[in-house]
Amino acid sequence: MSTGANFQPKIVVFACENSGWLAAGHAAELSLSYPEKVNLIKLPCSGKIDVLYFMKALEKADGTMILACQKENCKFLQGNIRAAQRVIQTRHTLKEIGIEEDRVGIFYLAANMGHKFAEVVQNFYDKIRELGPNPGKVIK
Amino acid sequence: MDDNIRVGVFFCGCGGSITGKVDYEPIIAEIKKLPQVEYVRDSQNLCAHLERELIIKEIGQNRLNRMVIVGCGGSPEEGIFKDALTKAGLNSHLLSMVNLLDECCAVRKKTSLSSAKALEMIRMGVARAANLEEVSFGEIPVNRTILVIGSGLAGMETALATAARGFKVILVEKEDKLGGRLARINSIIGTDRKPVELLDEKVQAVTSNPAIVIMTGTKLVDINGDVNGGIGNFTAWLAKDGTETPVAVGAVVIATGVQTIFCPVKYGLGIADNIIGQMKLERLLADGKRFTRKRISMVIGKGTEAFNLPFVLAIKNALLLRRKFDAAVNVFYTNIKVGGDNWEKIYTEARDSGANFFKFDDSIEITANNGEITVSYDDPFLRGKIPGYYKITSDYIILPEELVPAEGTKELAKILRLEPGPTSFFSIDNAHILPHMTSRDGIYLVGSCQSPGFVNEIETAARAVADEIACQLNADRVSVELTQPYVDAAKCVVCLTCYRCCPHGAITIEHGEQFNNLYQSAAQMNPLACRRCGICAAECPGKAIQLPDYTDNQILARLEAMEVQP
Repeated sequence: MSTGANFQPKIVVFACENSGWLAAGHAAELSLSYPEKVNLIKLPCSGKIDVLYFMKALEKADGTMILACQKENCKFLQGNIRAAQRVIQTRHTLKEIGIEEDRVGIFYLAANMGHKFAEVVQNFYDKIRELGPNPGKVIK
Repeated sequence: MDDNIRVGVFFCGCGGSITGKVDYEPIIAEIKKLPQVEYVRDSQNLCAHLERELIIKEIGQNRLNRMVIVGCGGSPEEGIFKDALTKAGLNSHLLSMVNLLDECCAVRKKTSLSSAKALEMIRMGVARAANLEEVSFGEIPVNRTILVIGSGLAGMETALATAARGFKVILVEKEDKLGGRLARINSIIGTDRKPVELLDEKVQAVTSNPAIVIMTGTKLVDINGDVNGGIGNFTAWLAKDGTETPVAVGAVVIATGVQTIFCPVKYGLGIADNIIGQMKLERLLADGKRFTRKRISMVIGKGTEAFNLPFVLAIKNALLLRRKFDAAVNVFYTNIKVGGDNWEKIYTEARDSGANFFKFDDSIEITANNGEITVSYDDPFLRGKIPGYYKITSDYIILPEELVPAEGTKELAKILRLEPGPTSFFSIDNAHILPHMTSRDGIYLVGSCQSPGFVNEIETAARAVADEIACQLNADRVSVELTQPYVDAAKCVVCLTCYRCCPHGAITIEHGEQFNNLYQSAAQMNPLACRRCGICAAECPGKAIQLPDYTDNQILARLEAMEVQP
């Protein structure tokens, strides 16, 4: 088991294609590096996120998050509010089954925030690193 | 076709940007081992013109039915490959793009890890490709009749503009005659035309236009809870003299406008002849009342700052009173907002003409005594330099009125399933999209119903809305790609969750034999009104709703294809 100093957590980032996804592209344009083991999955709106996606991601990864548009700035009016609710729901479920709640998070950013994207991902990565490997991973 | 998935994986070097960081050879060897992958090829640059022809040929030769592009994830490039798929006789949605350039190459140095990451990403892309679904086009019959609510200048302009684009128009007015508030105004900023002349001209044009049906004394009413249907197929119930009739319309334009409430108590004053509201002043000026060499005070402030209208009205009339009647005009303000077409110029002209502008903070005291008004205020600029309150006496005082949405706006918003904004006017859709659109496609706003506006802006707004309607309802049958979420009726229990959470009112509950569930009904998304956010798909407790290109299967397959590290 890769623990301690060598532990490199794996993170699944769900990104709204109107903000987080574009911010990732902006980060790429600026060549801002962020950890390798981060997988991006594009969604049409952060409101498309589902507890199921989070749980499935946590079967494989150590942490997962959703990148939503800034508050009150959702193109579809309520997508980011709903995404925040989904995150709360997932946190409850994680708590019940004995996994750290902090493995799931929601962050708000705009399309032109490449720096913020790299920062958010790096901070989340560091936090998950402190938490250690996810005990709920399904290893076949 | 689904039982025989043949995926073609095309690697793009992106002119060396990707191949400089990731070696394709070992990855290609790995990808070829995947069961569904039939064909793999790498190229220097897949965007090149001849490449597209080659891809089309390869799809035919290898009987591929899914395509994975490994390279970038940009939308212009996506268009190129969708085009290639269509030309090869496949559905353009059978495409999965792996964004290696942005997510892997541009952000990190070449290491063994980046190769491993690239391989994982491509595996995820292939897993998604295997779950892709075709999306077809549909033709939707639409009604090319437009319902315009309110017959003020905004309503009449919109009726004329839409009628000029070949639509039939029903113009509904709850009062007995057309015109709204236009006749109460004295002058229009930016033009010398008299509002009364303009009104006569528009009423004449509207009444003589055969495409416009005018219904006065008529209101939109609540029959089945709200306006049924979506863009192209609304059913609105109109009530006149107690009888209700349904009309089928394609789009609804709200032009209900604003109303003013005069409330001098807010300033510590009562009702008197020399205490005048701004709109009342317009009315008096239009009626020909003279203010020759009178002393006039105007106050703007105390909660009127939400809108531009009071500022511009005050400046416009200050200038007019100075020029026409040589009156002594003193304007007391907390803030002057002149961000608009030519307003700064009017403001400068008003100052140049000799109107005095005094700033006050909060402390202003207005007293009326025997027909004389005394305004005493504390000047923040002179505070501490010259002691004391300043007092100015005048013959008249002009106060701004409260601006509130026209009567019945709240009920109308409920009928049309719209959320009123923070100032209780109709709220426009957010700034990403057109400013005259609401959160529901097919319902548009013109004029002061969204926030108190100006006569000279209305014509532009009316044309913008007419153009938007002409774009959306361009023929009797509109062709649209059916990328809206679809519902598995067997799983739908008609719980109305999606109906309630749809931010665009695009969901209706349909009934019929074709829905094979207990209730013989299911939620259906209107492809014209839906904006493909997927909120309904995420909210559906029964997982009955799937959004094409983002189905649960596709996303879960991608997650499933990820490697687990112990």
